[in-house]
Amino acid sequence: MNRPIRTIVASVALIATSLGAPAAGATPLTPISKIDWEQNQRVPFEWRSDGVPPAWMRNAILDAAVGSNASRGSRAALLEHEAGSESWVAYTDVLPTASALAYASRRAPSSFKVWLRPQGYVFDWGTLRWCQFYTSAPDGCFDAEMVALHEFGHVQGLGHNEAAADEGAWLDTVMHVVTRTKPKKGWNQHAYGPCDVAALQTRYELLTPSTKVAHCLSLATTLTLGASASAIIAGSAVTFTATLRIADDVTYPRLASDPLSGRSVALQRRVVGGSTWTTQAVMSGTSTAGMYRTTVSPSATYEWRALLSQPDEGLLGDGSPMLKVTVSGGCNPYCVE
Amino acid sequence: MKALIALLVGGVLLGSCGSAGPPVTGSPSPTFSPAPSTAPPAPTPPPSPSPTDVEPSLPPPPAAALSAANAAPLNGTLGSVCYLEACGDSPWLPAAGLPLLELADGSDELTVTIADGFAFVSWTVDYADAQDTAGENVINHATGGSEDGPAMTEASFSPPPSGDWVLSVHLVYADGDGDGAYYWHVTVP
Repeated sequence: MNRPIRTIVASVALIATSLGAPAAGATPLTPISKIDWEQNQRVPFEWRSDGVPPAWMRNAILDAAVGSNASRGSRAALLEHEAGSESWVAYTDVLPTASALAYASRRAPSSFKVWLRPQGYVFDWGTLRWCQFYTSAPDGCFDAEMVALHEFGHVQGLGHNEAAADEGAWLDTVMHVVTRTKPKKGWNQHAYGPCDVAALQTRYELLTPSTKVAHCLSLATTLTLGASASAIIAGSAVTFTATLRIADDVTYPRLASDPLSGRSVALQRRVVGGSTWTTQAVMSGTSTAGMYRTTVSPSATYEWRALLSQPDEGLLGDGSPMLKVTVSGGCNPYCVE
Repeated sequence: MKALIALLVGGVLLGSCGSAGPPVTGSPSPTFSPAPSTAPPAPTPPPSPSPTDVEPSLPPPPAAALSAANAAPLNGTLGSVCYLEACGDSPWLPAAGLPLLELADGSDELTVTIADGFAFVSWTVDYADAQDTAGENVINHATGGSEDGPAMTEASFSPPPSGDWVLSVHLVYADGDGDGAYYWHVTVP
């Protein structure tokens, strides 16, 4: 498969996987370093000259870089191979710790280093087997792409996530303390989990205003509504404009007040003083991030609000303050519903 | 003599296959066959350099010791670790090669203590049968502290039940400095 096609297919699948709802048990956000890359910083890496991986390992590492870029859900660093880079990846049996399969060190925003042990390296516990080395990967092998993605997670600043003991929570993160082999759950996880993405989003912000917030977060939102007129003649049009943002007072300062586009914001109305709201329209997005707009021609005076129902992402729903648009010459005082 | 030479050559070829990888076409090599029983024994791993040998700029992570009422503190073997801006990743470590702590009494409380000058904010204890070298059935035993809680330098917990275990204590270091998983081989009467 050509790499560009691999990238597109991987991106669609990985984004869907990375933002999914974490299992019950409230896996915490993956810890993340205080030292950042620049947002969307391109950080190329080369193969260290005395540790060039064999082709099967190079492909796994490159796929992991694609996976990191596709599943980050944020403006975290973009990793890609480029000869002559300051950062490097080495395939070597000399690592900074005795028991490590892999190791990563970072000097953001300048460079990083990643070490991966060779196939066949002898540890106290046995011989290292990388799954990609084999035509038919044996049980007990380590998936090189998963391990490389885990190392790229460290490059991004992610630490280890001591996820809930519940096996159901295992896929909430790829940054586990213990590296797993085939066929244990998560052995071939090729995208960041929702709690990894959540951590990256708190540090680097959402990839775009339309990017879904990872489920490991639960961010309050603020929805406001304005109208082009507060009083009209029956049959006239009034344009409602809503703005949706992450609330100002969320725990993560970098996300506070960030606009949210592409959500389903409903325009609702009720009779004046009534208690039952009915949806009149789903508001359309505009070219301004976080802004939604709908034009209606009410025949009577109503109270209006915008509503973000509980979305399927790490956001809390919100309703805007109510506003009234007075209509003269129509049903008086209001139309019977 | 010819048979001996053949065996030696075969052993060398199998050894080189382990590290050389497949042909340049990039396709993975066929599944390995186990080495014949007459092949030379697998080499023992060379002693690894310290982190500062490989990366002089990396400060070493802290050590952690496990002790009991009738057992002197014993430094654990460090598995996966993140310390400051560097991380190492390991699987579950097997009993072989781990420091051995033999409890005299199954009710003795265990205490983990981090090296002087360091602190942690949370800890998690897991254990697995010492025969379970791959950590297939790890049991979560105890946990304490929180990432937002006060820093501490030691924590105590009850031992695993009677048996022969690999015990891991995962510490989250204070000040957001990272985390480390420390391993011991523990026998409980």
